[in-house]
Amino acid sequence: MDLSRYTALFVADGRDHLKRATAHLLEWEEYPDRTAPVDGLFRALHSLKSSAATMGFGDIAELTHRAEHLLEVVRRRELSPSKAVVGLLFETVDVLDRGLEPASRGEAVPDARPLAEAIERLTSTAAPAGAPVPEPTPVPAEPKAAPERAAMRAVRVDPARLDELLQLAGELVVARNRLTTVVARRPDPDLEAVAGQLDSLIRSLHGGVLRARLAPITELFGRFPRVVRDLGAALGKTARLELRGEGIELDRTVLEELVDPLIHLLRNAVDHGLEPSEERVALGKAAEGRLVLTAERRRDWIAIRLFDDGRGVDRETVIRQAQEQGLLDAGTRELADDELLALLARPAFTIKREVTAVSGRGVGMDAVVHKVRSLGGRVSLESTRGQGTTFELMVPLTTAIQRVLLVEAGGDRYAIPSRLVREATVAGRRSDAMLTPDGRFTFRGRPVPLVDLTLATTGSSATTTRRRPVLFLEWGARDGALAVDTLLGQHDVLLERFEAPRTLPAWVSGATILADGMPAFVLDPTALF
Amino acid sequence: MAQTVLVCDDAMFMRTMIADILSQAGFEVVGEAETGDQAVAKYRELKPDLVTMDIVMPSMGGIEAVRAICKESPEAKILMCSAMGQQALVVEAIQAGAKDFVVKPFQPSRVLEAVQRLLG
Repeated sequence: MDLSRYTALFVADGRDHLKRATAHLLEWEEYPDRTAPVDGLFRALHSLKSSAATMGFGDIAELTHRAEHLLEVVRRRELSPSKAVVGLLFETVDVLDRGLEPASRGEAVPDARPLAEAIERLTSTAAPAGAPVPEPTPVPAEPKAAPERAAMRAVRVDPARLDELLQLAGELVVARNRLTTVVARRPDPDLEAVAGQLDSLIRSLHGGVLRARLAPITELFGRFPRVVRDLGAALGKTARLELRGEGIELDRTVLEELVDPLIHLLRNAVDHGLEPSEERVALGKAAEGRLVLTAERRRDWIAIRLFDDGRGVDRETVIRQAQEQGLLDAGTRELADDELLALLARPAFTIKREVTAVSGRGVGMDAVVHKVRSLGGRVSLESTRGQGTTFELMVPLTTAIQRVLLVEAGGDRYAIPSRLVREATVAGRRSDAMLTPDGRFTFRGRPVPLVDLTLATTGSSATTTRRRPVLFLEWGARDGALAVDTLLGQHDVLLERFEAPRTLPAWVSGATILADGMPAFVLDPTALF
Repeated sequence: MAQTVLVCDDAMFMRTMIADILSQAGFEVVGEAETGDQAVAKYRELKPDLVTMDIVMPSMGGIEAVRAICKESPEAKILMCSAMGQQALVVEAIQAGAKDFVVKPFQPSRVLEAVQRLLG
C-alpha cells in the first residue's frame, strides 16, 4: 500500500496532537497532583506513536514510546513528577514538532536518539535496571471530559489553496470594477442588470472565501503560555500569562504575521517589564508576574492587548538617552504615551541596558510597528510607572480586499482605507469645516490637525486649502484632517501585499491596481500626522 | 449493497487510513467517531454492519464503548484496533463483546482479513 499520500495528513494530525500535549504539560506543571493532564498527554503521545509506527517513521515512534513509558512510571508513582521529568517532556514535544517534517520526508529526526536515551536514563532511576521496557498500559478514558474538540464537521484544506481562492476572488472584484466602468460608458438596461447581478454574486463569493480563511485566535495564543514559561525560566523570573477573548476569529494570514511581533512584546514584557520576584515582593506586588493577553472585536478591527503588571517604561531614562542620541530636544521633560512609542519605534534609538539571554540590546520595537503597519494596523502604548505597560495592536479583520476612498493629489491617485474616513467635506469659511486665515482647521468647532496631502507628497501645493475636499479621519482615540485635490469615489480594491522597502515613506502601506489597470499607492494617512 | 462500517479512532490520521483501506475493498464507511461517546451515539443512529474501535480515546474509552454498544445490540460486530502490547486490554475488550482485533501498526491485508472473517 502506498503510504506517501498520507504524509501530509500525518504531519497535520501530528501537530494537533502536539498542541494538545503542550496544553496538558502546562496544566500538569502548574498542578502536579492532577491526573487528567497526564492522561491527556499520554493519549496525545499514544496517538502520535500509532500513526508514526503505521507510517514507518521509526524515530518518532521510538521517542513517543519512551516518553509514554516515562509517563507510565510516573503514573505508577515510581517517579515523582519533578522538574526534570516535565522538562524532558517539553523537550520531547519540541523535538517531535521539529521532527514531523523531516520524518515525513524519510529523514532522521534531529536530536531524537540522544533525547530518547536521556528519557530512558531518567526512567531507569525508577524502574529496575536492565529490565526490558514494558509496554505502557493505556489510560482509562476521562470520565465525561469537557468536549475537548467539539464534534464539528470540518475538513482540512491546505492554506495555500485558500490563498489561491482569495486571490481569484480578488481578481474578480477588480474585473467587476472594470466592467462597471465600461457599463457606465454604454448605458444599456440589460447590461446594467447583468452587471448588477454579477456584482452581488461576486460580493457573496468574496465574503464566503474570507470566512473560510478565518481561524480561531487560539491558534495564535495557544503557543504563548509556553513561550512565557520558557522566558521566565531563562531569566529566573516567574510569570503567568492569562489569555482572554479566545472565541475571536481572524484571517489566517494576519494571524501568522502576528506571531513574531507578539513574541517580541512578550519577551520585552518578561525581560524588561516584570521586576524580579524579590523586588516585586518588596514593592507589595505578588511574587509572580502577571501578563494578560486579550483579543476583542471592534467592528472591522481586532484589538489585541498585552498587559504586564511590571515596572512600566522608565520615561526619564528614555528621555535622557534620546537626548544623548540627539533624537529629542534638550528641553523635553515629559513624553505622552504616543510620543514615547514613536521614540521607542525609531530604528536608530537604542536603550542601553544589560544584554540578557533573551533580549538583545534595544531589540526592534521598530520591527513590531513596521509589521503591524504593513498589515494595515497600528500599535499604541499605555505605560504607568510602577504599575505596568499595555501594548495594543489594532489589526483589520482581514487584509486582502479593502474598501478605499480614491483621491487625487498633486496629479497622482491615492487609495485611503475607508474605515479610517469618518466624513468627507469641503473646507470653507462657513461650513462645519472651518479654515482660519492662519491655516488652522476646525471641524464642528473643534481644532483638528490638518495635513495637505498634495504638499506632503509633492513638496509643494499650488492651491490654497480653502474650497478643497477635506477628509476627516479617525483612528483609535486620535483624529486628523487631510486636504486633497479631488475625491474620486469609493472602490473595493485588491491589496497587493508587499514588504514595503523601508526607504518608502511610512505613509505608504501598500499598492493596488485600479479599475483602469493603473497602479496606485494605498496610504496610511495616520503616519502623516 | 455494500456493507457499512463505522470507524472510531481519536486520531484523524488513523480514521482516514482505515476508512481508505475499507472503502477500497468495497465497504461503505458510513460514519466516523473520535470519542467513545460519539461511537455509541453513531452506532445507535447508523446501525452499521461493522465497527472498528480504537482502545485509547478521550471521553469514554473504546472498551467502555464496546460494553455500551453490546448492551444495546448484542449482535454488533466490533473489531478492536489496539497498539502493540495492549494484550490485556484486548482480552478485556473481547470479554466486553468485541469480536476480533488487529494490532497497530496496521497491515491493510490483516485488517481486511479480519473484517471479512467477521462479516463472512
